[in-house]
Amino acid sequence: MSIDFTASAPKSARFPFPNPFSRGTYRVWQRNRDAFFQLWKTELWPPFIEAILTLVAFGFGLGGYIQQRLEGMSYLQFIAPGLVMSSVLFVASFECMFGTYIRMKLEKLFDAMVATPVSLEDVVSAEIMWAATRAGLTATSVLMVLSVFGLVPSFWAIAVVPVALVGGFMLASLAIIVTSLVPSINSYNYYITLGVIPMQLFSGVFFPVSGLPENVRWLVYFSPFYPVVELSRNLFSGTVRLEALGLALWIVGLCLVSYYLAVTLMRHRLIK
Amino acid sequence: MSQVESQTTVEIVLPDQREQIVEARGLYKRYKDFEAVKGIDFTVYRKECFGILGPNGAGKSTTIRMLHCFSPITSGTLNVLGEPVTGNVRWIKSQLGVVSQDDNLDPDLNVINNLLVYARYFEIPKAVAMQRAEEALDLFQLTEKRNNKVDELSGGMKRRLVIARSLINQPRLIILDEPTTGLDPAARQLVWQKLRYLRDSGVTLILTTHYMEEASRLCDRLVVMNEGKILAEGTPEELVQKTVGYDVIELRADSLESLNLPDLIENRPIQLEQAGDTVYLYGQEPSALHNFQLPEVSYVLHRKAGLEDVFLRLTGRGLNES
Repeated sequence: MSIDFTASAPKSARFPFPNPFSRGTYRVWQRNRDAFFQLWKTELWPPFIEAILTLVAFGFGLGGYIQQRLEGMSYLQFIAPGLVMSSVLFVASFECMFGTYIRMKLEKLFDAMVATPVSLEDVVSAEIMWAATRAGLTATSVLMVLSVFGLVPSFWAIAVVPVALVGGFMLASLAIIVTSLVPSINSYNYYITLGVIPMQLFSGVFFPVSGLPENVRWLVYFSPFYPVVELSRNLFSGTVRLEALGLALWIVGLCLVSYYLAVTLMRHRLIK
Repeated sequence: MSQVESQTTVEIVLPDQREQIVEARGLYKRYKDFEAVKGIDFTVYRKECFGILGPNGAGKSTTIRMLHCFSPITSGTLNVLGEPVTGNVRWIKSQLGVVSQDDNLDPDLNVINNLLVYARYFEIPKAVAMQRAEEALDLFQLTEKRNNKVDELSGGMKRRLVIARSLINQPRLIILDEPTTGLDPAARQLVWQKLRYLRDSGVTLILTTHYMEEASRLCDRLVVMNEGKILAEGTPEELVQKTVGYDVIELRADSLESLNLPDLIENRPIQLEQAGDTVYLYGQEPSALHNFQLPEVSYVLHRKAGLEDVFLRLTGRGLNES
């Protein structure tokens, strides 16, 4: 055997931080990848079609009525980076809500995995890493659609893909936190209606945040999705400003907190 | 020339030299305010089929979950293959095979891929995994289903696949939680046959069941568990003889008092137990119940004593009542 498990005795740590790059995580990630490719016929094309439909409806349809330039761009150019991240938001969130719930409760796959040398932390980390992977794939698909429409202005825009991966990781972790708390699959409606949809509508995807009245504008900064949208807009514009670094650190900070909470809460839910 | 030797036999009791696969001492599990396992002791030796027999809610599944390191123990000690379950859990799990009560197979993958993906969790190289997967499928007569989706298998086939999957890492110990619950008699017989084969090949088996037949046919030794405690331990035959006797007469009548059973069995090696509307007479010696004259009763059955009777004597109720 290539691995000797006698060496992997647990280190006692008072504040153990989970590891999303562990061997066990990779193995469970592989399982999710393999299962996905069994289903590729139903899973691979929707991001492309959804991106096209949204572009046409909002960009060409609505945008045709908007004469004003937003932040120096046409409406179509303005929503392009937001649309990439919007797909990231939905793919990452839904994968770690319904996808995880089904694997966990209905198919009881986690019980089978945890009977092997894979730990529950590995399984949860893999769910998040897989959702992030899918988010990255979706972002790439939407970027391809945008480039066909001539809406990718600079080479820097490719950097949006790693932002999608890290942002997807963070949004997936938030969805896992919700999954660790829901008593039944119906309870996800709360998070979708009060979490995901407001994040999508009010984080600068469809209109600049400055468009909101001043006394509510500060609420937007509580949206974990806001820095993700802002950073991708920054990268799309081609002139990467120093604030991009600040936004990246903001996102990484959110990742660390949400990931730790996700693993801890899932452990509380599943290990009794 | 023949020599007549007179020998005195001296019985020497040696400590059990067999390798201890599992050792539990004062094993205790509490969930919030519910005590599921109340301090139990047991040992499982190599190459035996060890059974935990008891009704639903006895604490069997909780014990199993602690054994395969899913549930943390509240207190006591539990050593599996020499390693405490509070120690190197990854190593313990790498040596175990686990067959859970539910069929938690992967519906998104076909039969062979279920085995190969599972093998990856043990870091088994792909070529080795492929070979072992083919062998496991062959052993459980599932080879022709290797490319089928899991949903296309019957209940018995799914169970066989779950057991086949548990062999992929060539475990030294396989833990099975109610392995044949829900299977038809033919499927059950096939599973038992394969489990006996595994035991004879050197694998230690621990299984839980609430089927007396499974416990007596399959297990070398067993413990009877109820409400979180172990009530008795021994081989199936020992348990029956110690606790119940040799044979049983079951009877039901409209008026049990009028039969005056206590007088009938006085001074005879017979014990009486009543559960619900049925009276059980247990013969403590091989011929105690032979030629036993019974008065008029509506129902009578004379049969060998079994584990169901053991449970009844120990707890006052049947295995399958709650």
